[in-house]
Amino acid sequence: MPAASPARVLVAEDNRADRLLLSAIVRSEGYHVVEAVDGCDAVEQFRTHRPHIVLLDALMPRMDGFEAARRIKAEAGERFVPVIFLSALGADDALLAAVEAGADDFLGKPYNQVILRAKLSALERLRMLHATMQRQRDEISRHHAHLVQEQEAAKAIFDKVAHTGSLDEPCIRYLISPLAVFNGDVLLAARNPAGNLYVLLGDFTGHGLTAAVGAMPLAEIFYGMSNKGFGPGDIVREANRKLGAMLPKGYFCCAALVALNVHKGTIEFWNGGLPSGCLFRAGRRELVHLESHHLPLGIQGDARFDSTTRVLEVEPGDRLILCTDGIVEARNDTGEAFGYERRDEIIRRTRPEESAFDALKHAVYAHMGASGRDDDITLVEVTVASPQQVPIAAPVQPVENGGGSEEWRLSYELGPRSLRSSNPLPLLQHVVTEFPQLRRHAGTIFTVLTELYSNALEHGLLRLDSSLKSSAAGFAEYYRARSRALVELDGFLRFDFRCEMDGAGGRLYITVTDSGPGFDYSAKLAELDAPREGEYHGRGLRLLRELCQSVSFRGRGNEVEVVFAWSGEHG
Amino acid sequence: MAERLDRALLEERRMLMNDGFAALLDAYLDDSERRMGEIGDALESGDLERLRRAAHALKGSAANVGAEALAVLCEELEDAAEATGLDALGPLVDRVRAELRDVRDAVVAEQQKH
Amino acid sequence: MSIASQLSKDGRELTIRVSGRFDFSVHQEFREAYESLAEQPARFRVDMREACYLDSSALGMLLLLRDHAGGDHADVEIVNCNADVRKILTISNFEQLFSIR
Repeated sequence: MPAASPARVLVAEDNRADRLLLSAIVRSEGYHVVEAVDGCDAVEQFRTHRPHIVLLDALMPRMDGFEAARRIKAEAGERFVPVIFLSALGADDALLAAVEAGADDFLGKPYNQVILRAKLSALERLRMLHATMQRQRDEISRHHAHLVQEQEAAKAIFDKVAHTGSLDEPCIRYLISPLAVFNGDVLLAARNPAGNLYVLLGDFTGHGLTAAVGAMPLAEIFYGMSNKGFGPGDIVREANRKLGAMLPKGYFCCAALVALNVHKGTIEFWNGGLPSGCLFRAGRRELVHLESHHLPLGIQGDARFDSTTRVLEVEPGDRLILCTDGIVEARNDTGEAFGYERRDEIIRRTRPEESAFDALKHAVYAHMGASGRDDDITLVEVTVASPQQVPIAAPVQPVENGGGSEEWRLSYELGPRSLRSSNPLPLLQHVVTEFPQLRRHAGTIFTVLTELYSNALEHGLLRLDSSLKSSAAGFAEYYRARSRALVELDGFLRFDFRCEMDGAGGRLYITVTDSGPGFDYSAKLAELDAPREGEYHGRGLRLLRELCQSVSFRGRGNEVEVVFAWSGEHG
Repeated sequence: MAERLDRALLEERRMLMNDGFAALLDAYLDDSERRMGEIGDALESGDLERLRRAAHALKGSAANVGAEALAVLCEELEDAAEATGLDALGPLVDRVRAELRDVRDAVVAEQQKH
Repeated sequence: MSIASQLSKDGRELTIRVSGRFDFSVHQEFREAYESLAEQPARFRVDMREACYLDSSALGMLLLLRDHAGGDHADVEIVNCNADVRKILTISNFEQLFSIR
């Protein structure tokens, strides 16, 4: 019957003869007996000996069985201590009182050994079962507490990586509502060296640690590469490669990356698997969808991965909205999803000075009502600032020492294969910012390099007509033509740097030469001196003239030299 | 005496208790005397609740030694203490006392047998 | 059962029928439907006629099936999708990996 050490049974009975008899019966069944002579004694003995099963007479002096049972049950707390009442309690109300006091069974007089044996072993089994259950429950809750603690630690680490950067800038409003401690959603924002805003929204399959573990390299790639001047296409390609290598099969990350350049009035985006984003052109009250054209990150191998981005023109006051499927799939009490139509309608109704963010957030919560949230809801809105609000370069990095005297030259030439497949800017930026004096002006130099490069490539080599960009349709056509021409490109492009600096300041000469036929720059420059409002082309040249001491064309127009100068004190 | 005590039950108790059987019977004699005294006191002082409890206790221990007739009488008294007035209880208490006397004689005889 | 599967008479095509919500709760059943076969069929069909919903873990399960069926050389069809299911597959651009009808 009872295992290694016998279970202890408390026998509480004030009639000595009955107590002797019952103890003898219980003992003969192999249990260890603890005796009590009344209710008070029973509670006392219970405290001292912690018996496993309690037999209580109902009517006892000092404290009756009902009160004793209540106190013993309270004393036992979570532990299940079966209580058998010793009385043929005939009347229903006495029976009820016993049950209310915690009676688990009854035993009448005369005591019958066979019946008592059956009752004790049944209660003993029940007690064991209860103890096992409790042990398992405790184990589960210990594991759970441990898991929650680990998740919290992981989240704390994750937050340091993922929610830094530019998310707090006034032009960004966002909402991340976690379903668990960790949700599968990642929202990252950063500025590249030229001050362009990069926003990445990702939604990992599943919630919890898998998502979190994947989010770390994603954040690292995003911040690292945008900071070095890589473009959106380079970033998603690298993220796809890394996630594909580390995530288990069947896990992936739906993501959209948008880069906003307010000076050129463009956004460049890539969307793989996220619900369409929205570009709301507030002035024209026009809504353009940023559709998903790609597989999510982490599925396709690098060779088949398509990092092609799309470019759209934007104006100050336009709004860019990205969300995860939590919003479109948010369901109300009847199971109806919020859907795309509602989302678009709310954005369309927003007045130019209003934020679509608040309206959308309230509408989704109102739609869900009391039915709660069954997925992660992440929503971000970026308002396109006017160029005057955004400094051309990213904030200057402080420099420890001013750097000594330097004089160097560097020449870097790209052939057609390189031009088709790689972006030279991060490398050049890296070289230039190795010099402490130049590092202070890293943002401005990056902007200058970007403009020189895209001018030489798109106009000098690819012969694209920038006047196409005067209309919205032509704008899209321009970028399509660019992709086509790049494939057939034949030619080269060369950067020549010459730098002279001492403690008092310095000059960086950058010459970009392309193998194209050149252009009539005198006419172009005259045109630039009489700028017209609202034109899309020519912005690049004007920007260069603002940032550099001089901009001059040479040769047949296939060679441009800019001089970037700075003084020693600051800036 | 056979009708006072359930022989089979008593034999079972003896087998269970072994050397303790005599002590069990001693304890019964003490308990029952004390309970009967309580019943007499309660009747005199008119404490019906005390009377009922003592009758209940006397009933239980009677059943445990196989004194069925006494147990039945005690139950009658227990019920009567709740249902009827004090005056009607006197004769019933007398019957319980008489039955108990016979049971005790039988128990003493049982003790002497061994 | 929310997952039922049937092998064609010649044993060359396995059809897996999904009914109700296609989400993580059927993950075990879905895997067993194709992993339990002694011989690998040449083609797989996932029939969505009875499926009302699918979530991202279902997309993951489809990717696992594709991988099992030979990755880039896999012949996996997803058929009879309702509008909601179709939309989710389209957003994820799964037509680049599966033939969807």
